[in-house]
Amino acid sequence: MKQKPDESLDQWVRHTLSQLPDSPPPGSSFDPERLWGQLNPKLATAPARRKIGMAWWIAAACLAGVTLSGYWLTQRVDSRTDVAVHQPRQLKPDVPLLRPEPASSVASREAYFSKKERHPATSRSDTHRPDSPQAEATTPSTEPLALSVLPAELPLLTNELPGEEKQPDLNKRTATASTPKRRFNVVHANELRAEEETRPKLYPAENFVRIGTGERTESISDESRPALTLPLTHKPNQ
Amino acid sequence: MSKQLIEQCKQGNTFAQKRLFDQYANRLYRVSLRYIRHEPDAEEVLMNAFLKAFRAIHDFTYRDDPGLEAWLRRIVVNEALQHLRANRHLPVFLTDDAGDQQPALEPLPDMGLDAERIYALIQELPPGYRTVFNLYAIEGYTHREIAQQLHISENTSKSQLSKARALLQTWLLQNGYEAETRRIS
Repeated sequence: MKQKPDESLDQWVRHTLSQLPDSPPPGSSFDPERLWGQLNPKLATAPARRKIGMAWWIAAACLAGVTLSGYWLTQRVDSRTDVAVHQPRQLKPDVPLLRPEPASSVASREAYFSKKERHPATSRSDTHRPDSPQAEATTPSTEPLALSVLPAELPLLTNELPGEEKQPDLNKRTATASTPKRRFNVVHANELRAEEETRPKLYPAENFVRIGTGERTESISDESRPALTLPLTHKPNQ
Repeated sequence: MSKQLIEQCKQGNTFAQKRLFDQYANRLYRVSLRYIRHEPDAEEVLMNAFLKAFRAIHDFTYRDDPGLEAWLRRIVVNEALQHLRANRHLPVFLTDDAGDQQPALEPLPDMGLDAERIYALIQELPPGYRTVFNLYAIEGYTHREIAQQLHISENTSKSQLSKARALLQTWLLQNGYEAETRRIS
């Protein structure tokens, strides 16, 4: 196979150049020692750059590790909180909890107590009798609330001030749970009305009219504010 | 011998680096000077090439001396092309009107084949012709590789090569290489 003339020229040139001596071209000012003198300092700085690069990589790896561990710990705390919320049996205390009541029921209860103080014997006997319908009606209200909807860290309703910090003491809590203190009776407003209807009347009230709506929004703390009642009579001397 | 030299260079041994530099500096300087006629620029290209070679020698696997020389030569060529691109010689240098140029060579004392004369004739080629001829005829690149390296089309590479050959043959005839030119054509 005959080669093309151009390829023959290329081969001839390549062959000719391979016979060049291992020295700079004639008339050239090239000095290998001078070039090495320029190259050597640059070679000495090369490992330092590599060390700096390695230091940056190590620092970045440490930062990434700290970030990931922090994220992992946060996720772990969150998962523990979820487990606590979804396990109501372990969090059910022995002490019955009081639930916040609406303002209307509080006003009704205050009205009830103000009347009870006027007639202490009657109301106490009726309220604390176990087989009476009123007592049965009030019993469910004193039962403990279901804790599945309440957070685990919810504090109990006590007389302590909100600013005071409560130290966790299991023994004290257990003792409190064994002897519950009941300062109030939680009664529904309908029960109070029923009690008023069933209560024996000490005096005829047909001739009296009551001014007002029947429910008081303001609290009555003392007996110095009696209810205003006016007799209905047509006789001027009465 | 060279294998031990390469291993010592990988360990950062300065004496081994100096020995490797002394072994290939003159040869590679000629390679650099074939692409870049300006001698200070050719020296700078050679220095940068050695710098890259010593930094990348950890990834080099030694097999034989020709392989080592080819690896170093390729680094020098790439560095020279990068220098040409950085100085906006590529691809602007690809001209078509170089046929009237005459090589500024002194008359040859004898009619024998002189490698230095051929080397000098190649250096006298216009930059575009010279680069494509060097890459194709001496380094062994294909037209596709040349087109990728110089950001030109393959047809441009082919036309530059044919014009470089024609001009080189003309100069060979003018400088007394008539017998050699007749033999290869």
